[in-house]
Amino acid sequence: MKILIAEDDAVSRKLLESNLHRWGHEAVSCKDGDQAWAYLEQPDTPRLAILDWMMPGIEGPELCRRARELRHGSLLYLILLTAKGDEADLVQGLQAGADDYVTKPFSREEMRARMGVGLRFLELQERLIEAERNRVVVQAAGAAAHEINQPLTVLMGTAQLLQMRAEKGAEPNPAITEMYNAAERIREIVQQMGKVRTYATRPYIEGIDIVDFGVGSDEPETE
Amino acid sequence: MDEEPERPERIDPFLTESDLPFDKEAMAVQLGKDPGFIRELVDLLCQDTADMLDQIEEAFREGDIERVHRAGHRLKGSVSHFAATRATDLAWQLEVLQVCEAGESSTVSDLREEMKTLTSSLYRFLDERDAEAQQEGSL
Repeated sequence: MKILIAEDDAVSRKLLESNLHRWGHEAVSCKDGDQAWAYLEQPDTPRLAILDWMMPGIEGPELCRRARELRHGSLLYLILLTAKGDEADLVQGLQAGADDYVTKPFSREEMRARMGVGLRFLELQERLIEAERNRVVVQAAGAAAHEINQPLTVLMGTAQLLQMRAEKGAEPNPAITEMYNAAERIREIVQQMGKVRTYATRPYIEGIDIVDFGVGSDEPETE
Repeated sequence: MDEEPERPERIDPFLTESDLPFDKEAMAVQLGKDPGFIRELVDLLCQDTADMLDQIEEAFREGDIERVHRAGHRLKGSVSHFAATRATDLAWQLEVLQVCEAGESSTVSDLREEMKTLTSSLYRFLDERDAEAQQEGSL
């Protein structure tokens, strides 16, 4: 996992980079708060960040405050790192929006444990987001299927009625047949939508993904 | 490529274990026990310290107390990783200094001296670890 480090002190930065590498993560390092902000304000920024309190440019607490105002701010886990160590500093850091607070010097095991808390938090958050996404997609697909079904039944019935009338006279009307076949296809899609259980997407156009009812439903997609 | 940091002079060879300017056990908890990696950190400390101390002296001359505080804070963070109590304390004194007066600048020269002692002591400690490892390898 990518982890953002913002630390002006070369020794602390090197120590963090080495530890992260040892624990299987990739460090994205900055030497000042302005560089860190350039990362944090991007929606695809590393979701766990270790931010020094006092550094050139934007300082750690202000970075936390700004990050929390971002649209993706609640998705970040922010650890403040500092050589400050009294209770007032701790309160100020957490009130600024930090999730945790580590004082220098830190033991490797303490840092690893605190990062573990952050990673568990992010994993849980990801699961909650996925569950909510599933819930919304399943409910929306079910509601849409229900609402479409009724007018579709009327449409197909009317098409059949028109065809039956046409059969009494001349040849079947190809336009009505085509309309009926299209309505039949809509009925199949609606049935799939009604059976959607999980969120799945497929590429659409210009980098946009759309919900894939075929994969998400408990029935194979019909062609 | 970075320049090789200037090595401080060797410390007094008769310095006893208790006089060491860093705590070996506490340092191991914080940095691990890989001499190669610790040496990299000491190199960085040497490079950073020289710059920080120069900045502090300049800030003293200019009466810029905020700059003294920031540099003292940064140095405190650096040296604390090596469990170097005296150096950490001297850096902390600069961080909380009230005024930039000439009399107070003795803390800077004390810190400069302490940093020399600390880094040379760390290098000696690492040299000894390397020598031990070589000896074990040759057995």
